[in-house]
Amino acid sequence: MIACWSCHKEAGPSPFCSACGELQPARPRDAFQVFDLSPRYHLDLAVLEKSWRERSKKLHPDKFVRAGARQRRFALEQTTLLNQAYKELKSPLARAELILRSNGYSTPTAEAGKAGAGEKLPLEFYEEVMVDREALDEAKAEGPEAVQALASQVLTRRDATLAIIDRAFADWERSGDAAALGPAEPELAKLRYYARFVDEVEGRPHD
Amino acid sequence: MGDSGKAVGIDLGTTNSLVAYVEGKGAKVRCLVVDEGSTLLPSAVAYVDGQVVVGRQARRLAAEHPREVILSAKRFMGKSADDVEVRRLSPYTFAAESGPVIRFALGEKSVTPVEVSAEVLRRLRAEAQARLGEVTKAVITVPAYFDDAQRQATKDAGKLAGLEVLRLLNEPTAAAIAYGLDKKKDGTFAVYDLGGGTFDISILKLEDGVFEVKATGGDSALGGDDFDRALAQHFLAQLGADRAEPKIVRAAIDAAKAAKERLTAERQIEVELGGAKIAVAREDLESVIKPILERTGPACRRALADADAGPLDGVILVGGQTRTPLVRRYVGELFRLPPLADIDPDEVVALGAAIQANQLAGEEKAHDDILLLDVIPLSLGVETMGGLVEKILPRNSTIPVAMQQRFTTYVDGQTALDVHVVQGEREFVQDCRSLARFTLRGIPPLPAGLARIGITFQVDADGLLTVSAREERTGVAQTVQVKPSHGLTDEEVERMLLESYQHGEEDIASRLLMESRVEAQRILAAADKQIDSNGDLLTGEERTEIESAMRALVEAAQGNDHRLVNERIAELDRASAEFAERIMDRGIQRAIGGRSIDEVSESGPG
Ligand SMILES: [Zn+2]
Repeated sequence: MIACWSCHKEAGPSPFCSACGELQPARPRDAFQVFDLSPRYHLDLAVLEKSWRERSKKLHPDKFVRAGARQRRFALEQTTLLNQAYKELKSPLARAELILRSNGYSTPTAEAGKAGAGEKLPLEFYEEVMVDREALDEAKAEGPEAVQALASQVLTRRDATLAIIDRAFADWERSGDAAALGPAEPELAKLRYYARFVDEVEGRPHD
Repeated sequence: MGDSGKAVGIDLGTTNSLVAYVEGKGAKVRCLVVDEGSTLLPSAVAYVDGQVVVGRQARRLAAEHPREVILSAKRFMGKSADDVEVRRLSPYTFAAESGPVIRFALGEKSVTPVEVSAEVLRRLRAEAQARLGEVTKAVITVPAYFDDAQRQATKDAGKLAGLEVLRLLNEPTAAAIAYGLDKKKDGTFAVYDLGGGTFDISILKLEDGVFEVKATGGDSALGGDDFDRALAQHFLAQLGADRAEPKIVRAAIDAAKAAKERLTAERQIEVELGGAKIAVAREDLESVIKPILERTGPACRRALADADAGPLDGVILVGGQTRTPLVRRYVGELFRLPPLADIDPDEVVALGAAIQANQLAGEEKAHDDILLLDVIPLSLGVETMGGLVEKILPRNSTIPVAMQQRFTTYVDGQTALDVHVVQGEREFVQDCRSLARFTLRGIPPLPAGLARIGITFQVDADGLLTVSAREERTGVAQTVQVKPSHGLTDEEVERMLLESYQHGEEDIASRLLMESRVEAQRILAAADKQIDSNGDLLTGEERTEIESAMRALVEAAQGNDHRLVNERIAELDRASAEFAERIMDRGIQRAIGGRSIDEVSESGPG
């Protein structure tokens, strides 16, 4: 279906042509495809990391220093795609969003200057956010210990949210039914909020 | 450059430079003696009486010829005339002709920092050739923080010296190679590098033949020179000479430096200064330098947090200052590990470079090579409304890497979008380093917010950045290669990092405020527009209510409380919710030709 640039035979899905072994240009693939994995939320990160290293060793531009300009460009494309996919799969949040998106759920995409705005959250959660914000101001006035106490309180709630997400994805992994992911969708928005809140508490600008 | 020549590793340092070589079949790696019996060649170059002199001999000429003896060309590599380093107080005069590269003025002629560094490299190459035969290839080390321009300048210096630069290697990575590969041991290492004037910390992970830089940080205004100055001050205070004349200060600093070195082995010494004898115990030195040393702690903790790499398997000491016993104890306590120090901290970087040079120059063993994966030292972002920075690639991202971000237009009919690329950790453009600006033109004129502009940042394996932008509806595209003519100085990088650390909280508060103001303006503009075109849908009472909510929002946006602004935004939203619905109904009715919604839904899709 996709012809190899070098031998013009069918190249196959791997970065290297299945017929002649030449490096191919990067084609748009999602993070799971890049790692030849079926979509799963519960990933063994140590295995993923090992796979990333092995793939880097084959694809990295440093391995094509003596090759032609075309192969060097493909190596850059392939390694960029690999690094992006690795970054995405490493993060539980990004991984969960990717699975939701490919199962027909909408997840907010970041837009310039509107980090976090426009997310659909349950009304009670907005109240929780307001209470947290006030508590943070008070804690800041009180001192670092109070801020830490608030942070660990928020982290406890985050863990509860993670547990719900975990269950929903486990259900989905068992049944393969996209509807099982439903409960995870609003929880992911909460998770993003918790991440930002903790960043803010720790004085760390969020990405 | 023939293929027969040998390959060496070179540590091209600010103060001293070294050359190392692997003997036999990778059996033994050692530094070569290059200057007056020492493996350290002072990176000093003298241009005196039509002669070029390098090393200790050059350094001795410095007092008499302050302008003609360049002591630390490395600080000027890849810099332009408007760089801070160039404008800082120094004995050098810079040639008037302005270009992208600065030149040291030496009477009637002038030289660039690249040429000065090339003299140091030439000397190292000559010393190596005297022992090894022809030397044509080298791996040269650079600080992890060196930007593209500085790396390019280093590579050029190598070329000028007749060397094929096989690879520019980061100094901490070189040190880790010297330890990690020697022992064939996988693990996570911290490299703690305390030199005369700079401090660097890197966290690296070696596994399955891949050396991955996990995080880097540091402080370039911190080093052993600070120890010397503090101890000198202690001496002067003992002499009761608080306001000493320059000569005494100089003598005190020299005495302090010597005392510091002697106290590495001895516990109690006597120092002579200005005719007086001062007794100094190691404890005295330690209590004087401890507060300075402790300033390296935050950068280490931050790098560890950034690396998120689990427990460390080793801490490697680099730089002459790590010989001081207190430094070793402090590092041991900080990382809860006894630091590795069995390789000479002055030589370890050159030794690692030599191992890598040997590997790269060797044929037929490509699959045995270790792969080095580097990171970007500072976050990359673009300017958004209100002078805010939208981060696109966070610092310490493994390269090559790319990220796409979507932007839109802010004004109806907007056909061009300015893209301003910055580097740094702060929330505001003015606090980051400007890297490039370009304008994406030819955006189709659409109502505000409808254009979809994807901006892609691509950083390649050499750390070079390309930014491209594309309007997704029309495919209008533009690409720029971002190659700063002078680049970020490592000092700037670190200053920016430190500042972001100190101002993090303040930044977030002002960022929230700025975001809420931008949002307020957007909502006010939208409300204005809707009242203009659909005002007939409102009763007089409703209109008054919306307009008063708008006024309240305008007022709040002039203040400094982002929560108040957000509350007023919510109030305006509530006040105009009904109105918005009517506008939507009207739009739908127009679209379906005047029939009511009920009719349409009743008739159904069939
Ligand atoms: Zn092929």
